[in-house]
Amino acid sequence: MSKAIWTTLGIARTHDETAIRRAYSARLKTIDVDADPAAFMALRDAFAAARAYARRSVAQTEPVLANAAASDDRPGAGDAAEPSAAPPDPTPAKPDWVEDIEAIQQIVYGSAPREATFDEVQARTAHLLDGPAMEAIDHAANVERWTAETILSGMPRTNAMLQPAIERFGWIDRTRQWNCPPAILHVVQRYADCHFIGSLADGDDVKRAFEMLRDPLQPPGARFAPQIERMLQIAATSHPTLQHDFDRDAVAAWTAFLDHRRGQWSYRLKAGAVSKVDAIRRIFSQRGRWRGWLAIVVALNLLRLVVSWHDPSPNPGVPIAVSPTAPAPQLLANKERDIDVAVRESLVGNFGIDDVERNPTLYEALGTLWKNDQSARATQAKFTSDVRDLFERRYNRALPNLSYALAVQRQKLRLEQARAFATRDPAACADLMEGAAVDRIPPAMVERMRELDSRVLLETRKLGPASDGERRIAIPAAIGRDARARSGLGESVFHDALLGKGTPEQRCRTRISVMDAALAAPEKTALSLLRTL
Amino acid sequence: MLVGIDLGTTNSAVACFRDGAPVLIPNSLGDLLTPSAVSMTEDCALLVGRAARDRQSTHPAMTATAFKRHMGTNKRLTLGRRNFMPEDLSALVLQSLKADAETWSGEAVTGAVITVPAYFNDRQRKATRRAGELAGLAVERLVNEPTAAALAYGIHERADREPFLIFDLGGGTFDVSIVEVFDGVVEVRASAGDNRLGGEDFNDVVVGLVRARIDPNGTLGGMRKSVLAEVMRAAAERTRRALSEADAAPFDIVWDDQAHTVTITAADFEEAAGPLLQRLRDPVLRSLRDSDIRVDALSEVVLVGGATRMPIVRRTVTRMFGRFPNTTLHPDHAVALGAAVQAGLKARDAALDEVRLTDVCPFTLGVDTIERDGGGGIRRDVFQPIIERNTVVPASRVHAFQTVADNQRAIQFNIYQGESRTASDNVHLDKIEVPVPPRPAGEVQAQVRFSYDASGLLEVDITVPATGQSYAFTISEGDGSAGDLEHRRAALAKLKVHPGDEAANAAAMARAERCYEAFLGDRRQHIGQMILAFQGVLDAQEPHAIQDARESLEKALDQLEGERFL
Repeated sequence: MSKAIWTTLGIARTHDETAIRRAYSARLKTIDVDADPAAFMALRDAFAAARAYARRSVAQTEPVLANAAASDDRPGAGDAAEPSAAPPDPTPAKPDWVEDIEAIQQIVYGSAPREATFDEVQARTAHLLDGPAMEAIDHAANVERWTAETILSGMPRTNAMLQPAIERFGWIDRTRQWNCPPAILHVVQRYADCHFIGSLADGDDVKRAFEMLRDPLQPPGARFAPQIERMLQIAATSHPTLQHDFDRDAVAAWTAFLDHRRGQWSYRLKAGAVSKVDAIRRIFSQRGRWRGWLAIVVALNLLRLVVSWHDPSPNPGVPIAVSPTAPAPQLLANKERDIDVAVRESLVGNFGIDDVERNPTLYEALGTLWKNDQSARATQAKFTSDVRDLFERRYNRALPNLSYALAVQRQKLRLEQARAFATRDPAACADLMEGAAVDRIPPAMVERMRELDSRVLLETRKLGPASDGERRIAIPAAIGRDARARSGLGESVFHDALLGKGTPEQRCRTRISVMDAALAAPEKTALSLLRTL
Repeated sequence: MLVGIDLGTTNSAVACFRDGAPVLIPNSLGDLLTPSAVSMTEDCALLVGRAARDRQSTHPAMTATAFKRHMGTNKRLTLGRRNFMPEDLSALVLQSLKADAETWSGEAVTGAVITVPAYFNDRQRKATRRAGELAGLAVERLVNEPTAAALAYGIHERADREPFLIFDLGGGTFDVSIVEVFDGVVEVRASAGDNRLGGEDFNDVVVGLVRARIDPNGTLGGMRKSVLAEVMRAAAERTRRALSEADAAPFDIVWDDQAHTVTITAADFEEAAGPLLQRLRDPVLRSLRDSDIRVDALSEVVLVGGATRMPIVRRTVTRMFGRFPNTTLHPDHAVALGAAVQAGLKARDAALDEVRLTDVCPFTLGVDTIERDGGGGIRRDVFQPIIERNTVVPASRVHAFQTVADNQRAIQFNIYQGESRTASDNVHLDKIEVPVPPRPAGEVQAQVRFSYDASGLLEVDITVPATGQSYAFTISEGDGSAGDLEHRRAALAKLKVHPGDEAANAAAMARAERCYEAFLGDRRQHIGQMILAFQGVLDAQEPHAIQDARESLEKALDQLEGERFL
């Protein structure tokens, strides 16, 4: 305890609050607050510190309104805490609200089945909160505190209390204040989480997983493993209070099952955690390796059959792909989180909001889009699709402004793929180089292209004007000559192929040679060409 | 001489500290309260006070009332062909009060302590200060209205008392303050309020009740809707006051030579006013929470403000606190008397030697900042409080911030006043920027010190330890609405305002005209004749005759419409 405090107050160290107060007021009268604010502030700080010292030493007997209370402060739990709401009543009849509170506590902490209690808890809560005793402010504050505590400690049986309490006490507005008590923040989080579950359609995967974790009917199996995994992840990250709804044994069983599954080779292979080489090596290192060889021969033949007529999942070269699973419909609530989810699910690139933050114009554009969608009460799905459109527009407008390095990288990637197509599938090669959408690009290449497209989106700050459809390509003379030489075609054939006429091989060859020439040419001449191709 | 002025939404008053006690100063009409109303006459001169208020229903386009609600905004109010800012109108009222004080005391008024609602934000306070300066007053201090009432209440007996609660429901604003007095030190523990809740809102409730019956289609007003609105408002106020004493009261208006009457019962009124009464609870709850005091630890609940005369308000207060409120203070006078006590303190009057007052700032002051949340993401526009609300002022607090990005050249701070977690939802005061040396993110710190004094002036000192530099800022109006005060004061001085004795005549005439519009048939004819007679006496310009005629006119009008209320 600093001596300076007692010197400033002018008394000896003491626990007597009255003496401290008297010292403070005596000193205050000697200070001219307006002329010397610093002296006043020093005196005030000393007063506060001395008072805190005095109070620490004396046990706090008076329960205080605003603090989270010990259990003996709950109304109905003891006569001592009963607020003086009405003039003293000679007949000690139990007030209505005490009955309501005791009934709710009995249900919430009891063991009756959950569905049977919902209506009663709701009715009791409504009766408690609308009662005439709530006019008294002290009583209302005590009830508010008790309700928040009970909701949190009695989850999930207290779901029925959420709606009436939140409406009556205006807690959602309260969370917008900077000094909102943590209990109320948690209650509102619980409300949001229940709303999330309630908003899912009945057949939805996540909802089914939720119900399975809440009322387990069968042991864990591979069939629902992905949904359960997703549900557990959601509960761990964005909706933490849902963990209180789950049956503990079910969660333990599922967690063990999922961990085991994650350790298995087949899963790891699918998830790409293990390379195929290692997997094959493992097969061969076991006994019965002839089985491995047989398996490979059979697999290769099957593969050959499969490749020749089966169309694998389309992966167009155009950067924007369609998201296969729509996210659970929910309203936009948290800007950073929603943008992150939308960006990741738009499948444009493999980046998240941290990357977006580094590009202020992009971040701002997303922020404005989010604000508009939020005020239009759009769902996450709609927002994701809007973000995708935004990316597409930005991508197209960014192309004319690409840096030389980035433009070169982009073209080199396309060239590589075109060359890969050139021998087997010249039509695809021609399509790719002419800018049309192409499927049959292998996933690894798609991944690299997507990587590059993300860089384009993230690194471009200034956008060009929105293009008006037709893109005219102007090839500088030097590059044109070089290209023709490389292609080895006649002038008229070359010219026609550039315009899209002629056989696919010719078009393919022409385009490749133009690209080669452009990449070989100096930056100044080739830049605009590389940007527009 | 220093005076204390209560600049209210509906009524204003001026008082001074004399012979060890605060004393209210009557105006040129002999009233202790001057309505906060300004009106322009046909000859482009201005009327301030009672005369203007009476002209509200006869000439609404030339009259302005309740402009306190627009203080701190740039809203322009039109009177005839000129338009005024709310602080200009307030300045005119202050000018008139200053003149009354000088006439009554014979001394020059050099400075004033002016009251503001405790929940007025920075802009509103600065506008009030400007109004004082425009009126030629040195504004010594702005005092919160409930604090002033506490001063008036607390110095009666100097004995220590338990904390008490001031419940101030005025014409336009509602304030709650919890005050403690010990050893002559009046200490405000917490303040809260609602700037949009007052007697005027209860008048609107009455109008709402009546509209459904008198004018269900909304066609009664025709081309003069605003005039009808004013007429209804004036009648609603009369009805509301009548309901304070009876279980049912008539609502009478005369429109287009037709009389409309509706009877309103106290029960109807109480039901319709339910939402307003509900709104009274929130500031009370907030101030109790912030001061950490329970209801049964309060010694009194003191009612201040004209609207607390309403039985429905008193019943609500009784039910809220479980006890009957204390009504010993005069609800209309307490604030002005308290302001006079503060003026006496400022003037170091010997009688107040043992009295001191400390007040709190009602709003949190802070800056916007960027926060990292648990999941590795970042959140922008987060409000970081630096001086929390209900801190005793003057106060000084420091908070350290650091850079977010690498090689930042400067750190920008937006200063806000308010309680919302989202910084931009609060009231924006100013924007300041300090240069910082380029370093990796997080390596450069800025220590921000807020110093807030009792008159509401905020100073910001920022120190950057990396460079050792310090920067000091005084927070001013962000939008330069202060303008050119000298120029405005000159413009205001040029306006012709009717002086005292003329004002009395104008007041009587305005009242007569209002009554003419409000009555029908024989009574209307009678009033018409009286108006003509009075006009004749005015033209003759004989002072004694004018005074006699005015007094008999007032008496006759009193007979017709009952005691006038203010």
